[in-house]
Amino acid sequence: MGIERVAILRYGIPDIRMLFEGDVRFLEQFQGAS
Amino acid sequence: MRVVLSWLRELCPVRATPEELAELLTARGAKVEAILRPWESLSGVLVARVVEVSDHPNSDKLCLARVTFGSGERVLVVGVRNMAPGDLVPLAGPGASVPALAQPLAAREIRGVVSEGMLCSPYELGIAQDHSGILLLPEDTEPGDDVKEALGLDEAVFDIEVTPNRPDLMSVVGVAREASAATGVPLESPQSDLREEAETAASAAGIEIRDRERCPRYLARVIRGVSHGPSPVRKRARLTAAGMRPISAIVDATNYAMLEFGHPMHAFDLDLLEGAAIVVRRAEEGEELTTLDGVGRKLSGDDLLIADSASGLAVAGVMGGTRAEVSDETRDVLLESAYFQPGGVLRTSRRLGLSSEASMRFERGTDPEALAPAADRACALLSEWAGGRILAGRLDEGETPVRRRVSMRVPRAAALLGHPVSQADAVGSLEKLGFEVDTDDDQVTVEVPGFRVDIEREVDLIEEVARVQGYELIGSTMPPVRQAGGLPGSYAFVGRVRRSLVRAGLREVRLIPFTSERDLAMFGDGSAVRVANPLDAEQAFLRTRLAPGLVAAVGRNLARNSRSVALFEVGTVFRLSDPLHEGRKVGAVMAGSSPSWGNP
Repeated sequence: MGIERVAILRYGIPDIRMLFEGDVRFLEQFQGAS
Repeated sequence: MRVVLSWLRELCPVRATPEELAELLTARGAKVEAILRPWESLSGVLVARVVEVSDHPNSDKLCLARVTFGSGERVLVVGVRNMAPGDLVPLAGPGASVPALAQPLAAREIRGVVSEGMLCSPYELGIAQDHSGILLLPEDTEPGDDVKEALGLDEAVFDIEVTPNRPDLMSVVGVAREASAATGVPLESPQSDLREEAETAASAAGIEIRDRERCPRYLARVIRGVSHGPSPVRKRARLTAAGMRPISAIVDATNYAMLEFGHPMHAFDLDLLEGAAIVVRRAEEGEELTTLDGVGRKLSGDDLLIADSASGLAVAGVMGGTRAEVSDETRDVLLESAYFQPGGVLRTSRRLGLSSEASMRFERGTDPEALAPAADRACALLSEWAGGRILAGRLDEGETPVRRRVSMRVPRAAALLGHPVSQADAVGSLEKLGFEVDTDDDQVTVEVPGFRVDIEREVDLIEEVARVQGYELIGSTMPPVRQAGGLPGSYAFVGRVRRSLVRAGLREVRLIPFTSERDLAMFGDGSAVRVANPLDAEQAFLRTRLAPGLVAAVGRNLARNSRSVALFEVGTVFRLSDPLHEGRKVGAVMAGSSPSWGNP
């Protein structure tokens, strides 16, 4: 777990667990790189 | 180190502006941290000639001075009375400003007489601490001249950063050498007009060095018949601008020569010496000495002492003592110019908690070859400023170390610096710095002058060549890429899978790689890798498949009222094996309904 912490700083995510929940309300805030 | 630009120009007559020169010196390695103008707050003060000095009608302590400044006259009330008709003095009329006062001058009434400004002492002009009398200006100034220009107070002062490897930059000549190397303008030596008497110095005094390791060489000169007084005002201004306090012509001459050459010297009152001989020895443990600052010091056996036949005179290389201190009554001077071992001076300075402009320089390593020229210069100045006759010859005990020889391979320089360096380039660069260079095949060999304590091996010379040629010649290139880029096949495949699923409308998730006993049972997986210290006791196994996690994620989304969920994950699954088997799987889940999905 390292890149997740960079993402938290970059995007201002308040709780690291949000990255592993799979909640679509969270996911749809990000546009993918693909 | 504060270097007064006009002083620098005497040794290296560069024409550049202060800003241009500062940038050039910095680029070449002698960093100019700031360009100071110490007399910024001085303006409008004029040279004036005293016409008449008369009593103040209402005060015994004050007098009136009538002065002319060419285009007019002024009457001033003055608190001292050292000026006389014919003298040239600094007039600060209404509107002028001086460093010592916060407000510009204005006409004001003093004890019933209007004073149209003031006449200035060295203190008001910020030249020295002396406010005992009005400053009498040199005869080469004219009434009406601006005092700032006439005394050279309008020049800039460079504050040069002195790094530990370049103690030679703690001198005007050291910085002048750098300026010369950077601009190509030749270096000129400080001019010393030395006239010697018939009487020899050797007949007046002697030197005995008892510790040759701590003091490899001690040189002295003798001057008879000096008189007490201040040094010339322009020289006092220079000392002040360089950060030193003008004290008296004798002391100022030694300090001035020190700043010029980087070589600290000390003046003793010769008549106060017992036995007319200097003894350089270690102190006895507990031996006492009162230094010039008035503090009584107890020395240790490791401290080097300058003494006479009676007792100590000075802490060698650090500070003089009061016993043979130069004073108003001094008539004959013994001038010390010596080399003291850096380590010894450093230890003594630390032990006594005492440091000075002298100790700072000795600690870092002074130039053992500068003893004679610096002493000659100090004597010439002393004689010019304080009168006195210089006795013939120098007392000179001990030896100057032989110069180091360092070689550099020219191809090695080119290889290290990454740009072409020819032998001519190398020789030219090193000669610009004042080195004597011999060539031999593709090697250059240098006799390192005493003032460069930092040149010891080949790479030091290569650095000098780089510095003089200019660091900007060292180009920037990208490092060469030695292999073709591209993603390995497995990475590229996973990328295609992920992109396809995203385009199909699913969202990618990364879920935790743990699973519970219940989920394992639900999917019929008997055994799984157990985690020794799980984050959650309920999820104590590594997952064997992606489905349970994905389904749970769907559950969470539905519970939070998201009606349509389409997720996928590319993740690692683990099976118990020997010891375990990791594999990557892709899993997807869709729940709810959405117009874009078509009919299930």
